[in-house]
Amino acid sequence: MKGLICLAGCLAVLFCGQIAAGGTYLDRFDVPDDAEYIGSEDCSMCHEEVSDFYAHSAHHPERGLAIPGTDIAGCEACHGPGSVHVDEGGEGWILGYEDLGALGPDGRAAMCTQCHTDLDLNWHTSAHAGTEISCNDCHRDQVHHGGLARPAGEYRNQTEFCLQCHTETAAQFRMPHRHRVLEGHMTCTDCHNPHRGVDTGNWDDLNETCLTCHTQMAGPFVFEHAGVEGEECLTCHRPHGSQHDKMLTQSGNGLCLQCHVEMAFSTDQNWSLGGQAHAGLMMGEARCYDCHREVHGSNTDPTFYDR
Amino acid sequence: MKTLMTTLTLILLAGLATALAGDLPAQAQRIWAPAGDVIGNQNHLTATGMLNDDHGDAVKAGEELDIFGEYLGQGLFGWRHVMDNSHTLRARGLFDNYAGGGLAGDGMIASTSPGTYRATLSYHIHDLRYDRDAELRNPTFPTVMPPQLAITPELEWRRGQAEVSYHVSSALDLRVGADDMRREGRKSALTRRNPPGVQTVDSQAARFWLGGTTRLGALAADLELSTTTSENDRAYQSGHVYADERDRYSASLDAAYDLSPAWRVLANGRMSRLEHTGTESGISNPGDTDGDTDSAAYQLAVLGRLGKATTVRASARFDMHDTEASLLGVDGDAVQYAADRERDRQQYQVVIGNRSLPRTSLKLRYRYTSGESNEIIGIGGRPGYGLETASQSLDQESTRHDASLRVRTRLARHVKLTCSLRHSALEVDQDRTWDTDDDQPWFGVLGDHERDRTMWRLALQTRPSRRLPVDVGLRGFDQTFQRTGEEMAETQASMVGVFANANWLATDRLTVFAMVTYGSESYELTGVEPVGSFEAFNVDATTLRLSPGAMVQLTECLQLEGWYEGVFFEDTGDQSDSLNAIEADRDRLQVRARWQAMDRLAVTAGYARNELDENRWDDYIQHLWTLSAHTGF
Repeated sequence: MKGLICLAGCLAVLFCGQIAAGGTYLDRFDVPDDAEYIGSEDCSMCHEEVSDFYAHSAHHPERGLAIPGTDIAGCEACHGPGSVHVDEGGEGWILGYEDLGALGPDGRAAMCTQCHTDLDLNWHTSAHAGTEISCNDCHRDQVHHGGLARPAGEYRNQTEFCLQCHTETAAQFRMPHRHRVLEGHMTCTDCHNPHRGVDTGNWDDLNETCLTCHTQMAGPFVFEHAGVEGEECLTCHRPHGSQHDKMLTQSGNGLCLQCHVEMAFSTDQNWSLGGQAHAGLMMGEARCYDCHREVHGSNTDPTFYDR
Repeated sequence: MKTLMTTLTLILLAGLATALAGDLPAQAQRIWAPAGDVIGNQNHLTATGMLNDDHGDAVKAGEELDIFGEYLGQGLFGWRHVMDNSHTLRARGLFDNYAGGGLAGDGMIASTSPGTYRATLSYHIHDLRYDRDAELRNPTFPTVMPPQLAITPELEWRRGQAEVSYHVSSALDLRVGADDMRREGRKSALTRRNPPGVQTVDSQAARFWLGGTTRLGALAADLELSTTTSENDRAYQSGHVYADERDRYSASLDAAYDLSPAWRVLANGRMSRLEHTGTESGISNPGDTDGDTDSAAYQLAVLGRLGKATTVRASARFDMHDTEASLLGVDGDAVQYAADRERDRQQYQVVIGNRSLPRTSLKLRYRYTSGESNEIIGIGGRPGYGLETASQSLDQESTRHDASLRVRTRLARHVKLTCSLRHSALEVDQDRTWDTDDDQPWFGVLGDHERDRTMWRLALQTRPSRRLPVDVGLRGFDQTFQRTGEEMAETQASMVGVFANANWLATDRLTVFAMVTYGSESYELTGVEPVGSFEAFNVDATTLRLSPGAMVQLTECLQLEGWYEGVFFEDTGDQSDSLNAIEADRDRLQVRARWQAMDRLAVTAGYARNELDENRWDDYIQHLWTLSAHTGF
């Protein structure tokens, strides 16, 4: 019920508000009052190399792709109205490289997302937002001033592109038990969306990301381990790679015993767990999930036992 | 010793390259790429032959040959064509015949018209082979070789993806896609009754989605509808056989409205329904399974700027799950077990970012989560209908606080410091009731418990010179878990790690890189005295990873690269009678030479040596020789 009230309130705000037009990154600059949008034809007369750079890009003025709801297209979509700059022979006001660079990462993202609406919706929740990273750092070959990363087109696949910064993850993918990403079976974006996060704004919750492929773990089960809905898969697994089989965070039974330990376990020679003696099993070669195999959930046994 | 030799070799290469310094570009590190691989948008074709030579433990070496094969081939191609109207066609592929299997690999074709549409189609086929005894690796094993499967389990894995996006107008973009994944074959699986065993798998999951994004003035919205259908047939050597079918229907809506240049309201909603039917047999209580879960989540958030230096994000989120699941008798004639479960969760979060301090940014986040869960499981009938012969219910309330602070500051022109601290505190209260014949609870639950976690990180990014970025850092993790109900007990887990990464563009012809990480992890029960071999469950482990490498352009036609990676793991926490410590060392050494024979022909020769050395039973060495030819067209 609370959710419905929340949704209704949200819709009321969205559709009843006639408060103000949406702001753009241009609001952060002092744009001359007499500056007007004049189109990009004049730009290529002096900036021929930039025009060539965009020859096969969606950004080229000839594509005619305008900022949604406006007629502003081409160079002026990012650099602002160009009339003053042209009238004064290239000396007048325009947003140059230095100006746009001074925007900061969030300002540059705002510039790009005025057209890339789908990315605009949830960029603020992404792990990249709020860092030094902005659009041009990865999409260097889409804009004519590069950022931190080498162009994506220089890489054989998307994974290599991401790993040029995420070197630690590259090391994890070389662990003996891992998702086969370096081998090319998967890519980073099968699980991660670089433009949005998982905590808010995106309802692909962390577990659901895993359950997209591991559908047999999704249940619903009669007897459910807290991990499936109440906790996160990452409580027990390291999906990039682990020293331990099944990509577990810890080897052997220590992982299970972090939670499933009882006072009787440590004072009873039988190592009692759940009223059952476990000493003989644990001193041998057994692991908890050898017997309690349906650890994600079971329809037949409350202790997830395979019997 | 090997590390020393590698280091000396790298120094020699560095000196040689410095002497031959010219204006050729230094290379980026791509240590994971196969020999002869190329990057870039140019048209190319590469063919590679490999010879795999295994030594060491005969059984283990034989197993590696089974998994990988002895004579291997790999092909890579890329093609790109841009038409006069900017319409672009691309095709890429990577294929191999590892382990003597059929043709496997990845292929992709794409068609793009900038600003109009983009279509991609990809297909992957891979044969996965499993260690005959990999799942048996465990510190509590004795030093003798564990039993092995007679054959190497093999699983065929196929995946196809297709997606089309179309720019309808400046206010509307549409997308549609499909994804199909199939697995068929056998995996290794340890079964208690007859170790080791295999699991037979035959599964398929297909997902279709349709979405659209629109922008009308200050309003932007994205809607996506999707459906997933999956079938999972599994059989364990123990006799347990599953046949499952699942359907999931989902809808999500993201919307944003700009209230002013500085403030925005966001709303998100998601609903999904999961339906499941199946059968389980080969066990003591076989039957048909049936269940469904309805989920919904809503969020309202405000995002804004306060002045030029402060950003604020505040959000409220509500989650609801309603599940019914049951195990029926064979042919669905009677209810054996049935569960009715409801979960609600409320989450409130505020994030404040600030850049008012000189050269410094701060981000403070706090999140409060509360949840309620009510579950009742009945025997012989569905809960609430009065037909059940016994039942047990669990009412749970939980609260969780998450707080984090991240500070980034520029100490000097080329020195940045990042500090982050996260703390989470979880408290769960469980109330269990039951109605059984013997007036005893049917099964146990965890009971009241608390968990505190702290994670911290310090990282220093420096650039001592324009050509030498160096990153160093330290991070840690601490967790305390307490069962505060009847079964009082406490466990502690902790980890501390240090890392350093350098990438030195020594000259225009030489790049030297190195990464070092060292970490320790421990796990222990506290507050009780060890009894018998109780300490066998403590973990006190260290892991050292050392990875130096170099790439050098010796002449205009000849490039050399060398790379070493060592991972050294030791666990001295195991005090069992049979084994006092686990030591597992992994060494990888890789060298390559690339010769640009002609304008459009390059030949690459490579050698890789992989060694796994454990103090139990897994020692083996793999030598991999490669020769590849690359041509551009």
